[in-house]
Amino acid sequence: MEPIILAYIGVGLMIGLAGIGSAYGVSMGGNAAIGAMKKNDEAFGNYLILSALPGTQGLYGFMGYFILSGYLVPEMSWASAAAIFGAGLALGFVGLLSAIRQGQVCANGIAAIGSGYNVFGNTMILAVFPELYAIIAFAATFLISNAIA
Amino acid sequence: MKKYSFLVYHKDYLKFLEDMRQLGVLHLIERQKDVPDSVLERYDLINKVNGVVKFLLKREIENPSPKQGLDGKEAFEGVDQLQQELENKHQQLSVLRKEISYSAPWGDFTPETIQKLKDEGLEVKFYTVSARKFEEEWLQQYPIEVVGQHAGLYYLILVKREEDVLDLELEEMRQPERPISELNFYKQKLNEEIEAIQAKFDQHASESLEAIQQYLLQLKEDLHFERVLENTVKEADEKVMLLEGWVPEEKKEDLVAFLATNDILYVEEKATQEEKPPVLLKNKEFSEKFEMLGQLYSLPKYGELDLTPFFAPFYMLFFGFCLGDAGYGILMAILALVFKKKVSKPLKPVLGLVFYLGLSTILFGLIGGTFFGIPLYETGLPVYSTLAERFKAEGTDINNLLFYLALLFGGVQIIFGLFIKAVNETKQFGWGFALGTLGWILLLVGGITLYLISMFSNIPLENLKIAQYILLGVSGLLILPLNNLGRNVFMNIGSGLWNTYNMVTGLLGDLLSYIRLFALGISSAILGLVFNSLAVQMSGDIPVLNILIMVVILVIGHSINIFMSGLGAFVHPLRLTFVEFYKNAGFTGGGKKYEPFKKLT
Repeated sequence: MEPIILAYIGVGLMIGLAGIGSAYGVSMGGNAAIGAMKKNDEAFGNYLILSALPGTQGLYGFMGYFILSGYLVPEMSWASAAAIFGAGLALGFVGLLSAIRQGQVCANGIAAIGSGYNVFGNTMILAVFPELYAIIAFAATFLISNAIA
Repeated sequence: MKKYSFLVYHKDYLKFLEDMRQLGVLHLIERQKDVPDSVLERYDLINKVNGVVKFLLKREIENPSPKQGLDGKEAFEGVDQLQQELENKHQQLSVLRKEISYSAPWGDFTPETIQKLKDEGLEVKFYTVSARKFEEEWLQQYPIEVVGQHAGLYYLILVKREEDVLDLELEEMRQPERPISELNFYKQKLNEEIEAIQAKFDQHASESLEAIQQYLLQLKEDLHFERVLENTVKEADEKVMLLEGWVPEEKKEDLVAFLATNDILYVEEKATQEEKPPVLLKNKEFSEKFEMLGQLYSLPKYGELDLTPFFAPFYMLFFGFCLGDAGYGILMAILALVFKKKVSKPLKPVLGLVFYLGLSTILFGLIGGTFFGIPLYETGLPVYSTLAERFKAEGTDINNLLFYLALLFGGVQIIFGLFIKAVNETKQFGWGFALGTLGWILLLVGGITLYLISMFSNIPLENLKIAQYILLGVSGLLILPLNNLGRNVFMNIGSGLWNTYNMVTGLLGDLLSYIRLFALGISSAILGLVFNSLAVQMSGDIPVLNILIMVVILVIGHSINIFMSGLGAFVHPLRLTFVEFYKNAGFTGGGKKYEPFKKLT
């Protein structure tokens, strides 16, 4: 097997899982927002912002690939392939699960705003707690790309 | 805040309240826990009027021409009446639509004709049959006629004598009550009535909206008045009224003058924390713009330091760090300046805030070297190319430096937070209670100083052992046995150990939390770069068209980036402020907002 195969499996996991996570996360927010619109249709701006929060993990996955794309050459070494595979595993899985969980926090916040509770600020702050770990994974991917160079 | 208790003779009380409302400085102390029905009814009415105001505002009349001298209450009732009528008309319309869809396939007929046939002993029957089962010869065999076809069904009319029996196996339908022409006439009439109501709404939105808004304010005023009455204590057989409330120090002059001229008995007391007085923030200019961010979390507890001016500069820098694109920053600053003249008064501070955040974004865009996603360090621009070469010679690059800068910011903000905690503890309880915090500051600042000394003067840390021991000894004394002079030493050692465990685990986590600044900064830069390269690669090579495609991709791409990265740049520094900074600054929060009893109209 060539090293580049392993590297591309890593890239696939990175973009794929993080993207799926964000898709799930923002849909949860969107579903909750539609429910909340029935009760309180004046806070759509708040729903929109909270629904968009879990959208970043997919972007981190894509940008992780963008950072590493320069090293994906046929003659790459096993060491760089392994590094990219590891980065892909980390960013992919953390992105997937943190986005879904973040989506749940946002959805609960949206439902609460819909019921007339003023919790927009609180929800925003609590919702970025799970995102930190996706950010850390993205920062680690960046550091891994520096290490390969 | 000062606490005032007024004693007023019952006959003068209403006038006294009117005067107090005019002064508009007293924040009522509420004693009543249960809300009487009369107040609940007022709340309901206020909600209703508020709904009408919002409803009229949504009609967005271009140039409203408010009518002078309108009675807001009547106008509101008029709109409310119209809304009920509209509801009613819509219900009628939906019933009519159902009827129309039933009657339409039967075509037009007059009920009189059917009645005449009936008088002659003939009855008219209505049938439907599916197109598959319909047979042409029925038309010859029976007195039957096809009057309509709709959705795969044939609509048949059969005219027969009452005593005749036919062997037709068809589904009989009820006779439509009214012919279609009549129904359509009513439908048109209803639609015209609805349009007329809508026109009246527009007229109200133009002419009476202002009056209704005034009426709403009046209602809120009355409600507040009633709440003040409810919270008045009646003493001495209801002859004397006792009212209590809070007044900020700087607003008491007018009040005291008023009380003296009107000969009113009162007691003025200093506020204590236990009574939970309301909170009025006193920020000016720059930090005032950041109050709205602080209120997303909580107002400070009474007597506590207001942290707004202390987190404001950090928040501004952090936002810039996260968005970090000079182009976006210029865009934000320009938009804020342009719209500042056009928006209503409450929105002005928001745009002021956006302007400051834009400036900070420009600054960090220049430091990080990003302009609308273009990496400036790779463009060979004069200053940037020199810097890029220097970084290369040092074996580093700008992103590495930003990584350490983010951690440095974190360290500075955390230590700054500890300083504030010490000031806060001193302010609230006295300096003897701030010794533990001071110990931690000493340990951290001293440790960093020693490390820097050894780094820059090439003295190995081994040789600074004595200084290290002294530092550890003094700060250890403060942290463990002396952290609170109000308790005994053993209690202090116990709580000091617990604090030490929390600090050691907490500080590391807090510091690492600031890595997000760096990661968000490069992520917005990379995303901008990605859209730029997409725009160049996907625009093709047809002249003129390729420019168009490029511009479209650039505009859409950068809009997405500004929205997503802007959202992150807004929220993540908030988290750093409320979690890392507030925790280290020992912020409690939970204050009530100062809302004086005043005139609104």
